[in-house]
Amino acid sequence: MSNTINIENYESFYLDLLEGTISEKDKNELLIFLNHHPDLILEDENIFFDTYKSSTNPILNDSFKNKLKIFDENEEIQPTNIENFIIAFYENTLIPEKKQKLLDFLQQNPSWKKTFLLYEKTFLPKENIQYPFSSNLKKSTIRPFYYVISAIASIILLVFLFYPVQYEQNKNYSISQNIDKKFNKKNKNIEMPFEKELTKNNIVNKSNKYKSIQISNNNPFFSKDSSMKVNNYFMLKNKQLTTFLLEDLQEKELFVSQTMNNDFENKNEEKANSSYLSIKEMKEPIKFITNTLNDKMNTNLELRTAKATSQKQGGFYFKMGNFEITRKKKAIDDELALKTIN
Amino acid sequence: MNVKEYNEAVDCYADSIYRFALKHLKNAMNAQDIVQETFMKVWDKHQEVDAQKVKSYLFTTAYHTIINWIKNEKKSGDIEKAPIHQFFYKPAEMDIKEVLEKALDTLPEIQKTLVLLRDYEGYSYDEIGEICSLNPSQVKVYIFRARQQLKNYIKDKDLVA
Repeated sequence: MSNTINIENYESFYLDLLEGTISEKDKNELLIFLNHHPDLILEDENIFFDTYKSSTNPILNDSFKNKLKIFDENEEIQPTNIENFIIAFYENTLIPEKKQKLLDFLQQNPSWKKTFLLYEKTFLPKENIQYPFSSNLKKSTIRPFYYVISAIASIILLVFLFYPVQYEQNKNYSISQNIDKKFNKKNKNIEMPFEKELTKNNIVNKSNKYKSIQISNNNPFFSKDSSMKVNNYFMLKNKQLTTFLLEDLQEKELFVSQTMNNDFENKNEEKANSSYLSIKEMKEPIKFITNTLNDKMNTNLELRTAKATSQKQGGFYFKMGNFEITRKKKAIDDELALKTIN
Repeated sequence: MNVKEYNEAVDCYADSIYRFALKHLKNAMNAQDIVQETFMKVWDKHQEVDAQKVKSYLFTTAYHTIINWIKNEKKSGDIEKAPIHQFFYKPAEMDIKEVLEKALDTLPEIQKTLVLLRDYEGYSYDEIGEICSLNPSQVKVYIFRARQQLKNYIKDKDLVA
């Protein structure tokens, strides 16, 4: 008995033997091993082994060897390989010439016709089996509701972010006007330290039309030093600004122009015009924003919000064209709220 | 592969995968689980999967899922095989289909897979090899052996007039 093949490892050798990949040495050892353990030989495969009994030189029978061979379609059709040709015929891998030769062979050897018909039955017929839950496997292409909410929130946020930029630009413009006007009125004798020099170098240009300060970036003499002077100039002006703004707020509403290119003087006369944003409107900008977007986009846009109080419900209402979203919030129960807090 | 392509794949191939799994496992519930798991795995990788090759990818996934399922069930010794023939076959067709179904069960798992892919899905040897990680020659040999075994089984039942 072989020393290398045993009850623990014989299966891998046995599979190699059935697949035809076993070496001659291992094959002989395996056959000797199987001779001592005939119960381990699979029933179906038993027919392929010749009587090797206690022989030291066992052999395989031809039928088994034929099974191990790779089918070559170029071979001549013979009783030993006709089954392969029949299978290839049904598998549709035969060339037309070989197909005809096979049919001729069957004509000449009618005993093979039954086998030929048997192989036809080995092909599985088409069946209409349906999976009952296909719809459950699908993924929704409709964006979830929170996507819509996020998109709307993003738009509103962008509007809010964009608006202050404009406002800041306009504020600088008005600030400069106020500073110029009020500072010059109240401090006629005070001369700004670098104003002359900056004006001389075209670094600061006091436009007659806008009466605002503009920095000329193209000026070849704009040096780091002069840049610092400009900054100092603005810092000094801004100090004055705070005072003037406070005065303005106490006296009347501050109006900020919408565009830089409008004439400031004319704008002062058009305070009541809708292109100006009052402090009140700035505190509650939603209406102003929705109205502006309505005009610009030609879309019916509406956003209303209300805080829930003990007296009434809260929530929000948003409408863009035909799209509407409403969310209501229950009125706050003061007693319950107090209990929760306690 | 995007959502639309994935949903189209469900429409086109869910039934095929179900049939493939059902023929292997002989149990409708288990086959449905395999289909669900297969599509779930494919969706997990949908960004890497080419929509043109989704069928092959689905069958590869289904094949490995079935093999793993069989291994696990064999370990736990709990394979349920409900008779499915009566639900799918008309009485007149029952004889040959039932015999063939039983014959199919006698095949080794790999040969059974190859025959199913070949006959039901019409895959070429190359495509089957890709799905089952075999070379085309091996596929051919296995299919030929399977056909011979099926033929012998049918012959024993003497179904051919």
